[in-house]
Amino acid sequence: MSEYDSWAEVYDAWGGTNPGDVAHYVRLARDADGPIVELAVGTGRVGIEIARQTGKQVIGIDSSAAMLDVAREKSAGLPVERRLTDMRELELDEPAALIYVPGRSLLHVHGWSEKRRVFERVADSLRPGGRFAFNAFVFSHRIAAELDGKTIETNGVVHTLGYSAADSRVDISRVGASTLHLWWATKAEWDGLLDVARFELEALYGGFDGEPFTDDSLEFVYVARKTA
Amino acid sequence: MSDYDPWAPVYDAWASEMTEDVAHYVQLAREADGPIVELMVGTGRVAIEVVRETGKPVLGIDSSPAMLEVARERSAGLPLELRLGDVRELELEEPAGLIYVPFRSLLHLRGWHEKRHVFERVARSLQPGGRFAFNAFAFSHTIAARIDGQHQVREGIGHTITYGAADNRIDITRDDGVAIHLWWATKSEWEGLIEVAGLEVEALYGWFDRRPFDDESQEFVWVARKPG
Repeated sequence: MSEYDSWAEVYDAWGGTNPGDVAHYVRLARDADGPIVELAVGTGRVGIEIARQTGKQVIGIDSSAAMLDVAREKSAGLPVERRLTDMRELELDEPAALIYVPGRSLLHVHGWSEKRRVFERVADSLRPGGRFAFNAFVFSHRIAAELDGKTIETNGVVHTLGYSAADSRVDISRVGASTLHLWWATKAEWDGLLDVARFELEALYGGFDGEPFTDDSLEFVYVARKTA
Repeated sequence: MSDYDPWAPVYDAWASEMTEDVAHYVQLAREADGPIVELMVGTGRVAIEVVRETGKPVLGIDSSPAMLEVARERSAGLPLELRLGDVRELELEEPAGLIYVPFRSLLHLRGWHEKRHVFERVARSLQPGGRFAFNAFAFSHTIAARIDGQHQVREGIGHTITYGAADNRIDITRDDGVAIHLWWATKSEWEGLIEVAGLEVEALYGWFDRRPFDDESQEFVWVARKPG
């Protein structure tokens, strides 16, 4: 039983506002010469589109059986393989050419040691020259101050947001569901995680259309490469 | 000429609200078995008290000649050695028992690589069992949202604080145009820096009275140790 199970039913509706990430990850999948793996695949919003648009097989990993059940129904007939595993325990039979984490899901990993572990697992699971791509929001004090303590509705899903600055944590609670946590990270921390796992930074964009990352960017869109 | 020179004449006034840190660093200095070094010593606010209260010599390092000039005048007759140097180039003749950085000065370092470099220099400059102690604020979105862009006067010094969220940067610009920058870091980033430098966390307090660090804490008060 995963804390994400109780979000499976509403997850597609909640994340239904398309942030434009699909085309970005589809492009990376087209470039990939070898196995493609999505971590924290959830209900398959991105993984299924990649399988559909590229015709390539996608291995989707998630720790929530309920999320993967939704993904199975939605991906009938498409080459999407689902695996119930925690990304901290990632292990692949064959090294991947692309491992990606959309939907800001890396923010669910808590603290330096756990994040470092995930980055090192990813590095170990890639072939030389293989890519690691992910995105995460930039922590905006203005947005946080606006939303802190508020109950809001996003596409029919009513939830409450709480912030702990000391732990750089966002708590997302919803009646009848487990509380989800996110831990935001700074640019320096992402750079540090790539550094300790010995990745080379290929690009940091400020969005999914290749725009440069600037002081005003609200999204980190990282593409890193395992040194050959 | 250093970026910090123009702050030397007003720095003590500017820092006058911060007094509670002194006892904490004095205590660490008392416990130190070996040379004591303060990085970014500035005008000597903390170091002079450490010398006076413990009777032990302190080596203070700073990159601003104007700051050191003020410290020199204030510490006449005391065993405070002042050295012009950049922390990124830290090199000691004799390994230290305690290296400390009060007043959030590590926040003047920019980006992962620069911070990692300094942490590694510190680790190399400590004797086995030696301590590295520093403090920094926990970035509060509530405070930031309230003061972003507002003109303030502190101890007669008019200035405006603005935030570059994507770069986790705070710009403090005086009315006369002189600016200084801080880059805030999360708990997880500090943990990462301590770890990559091969140091161990001895304690993380939430304030200088050594209360435990919790979700409501506004200050990181770190004590790390080089394995013995």
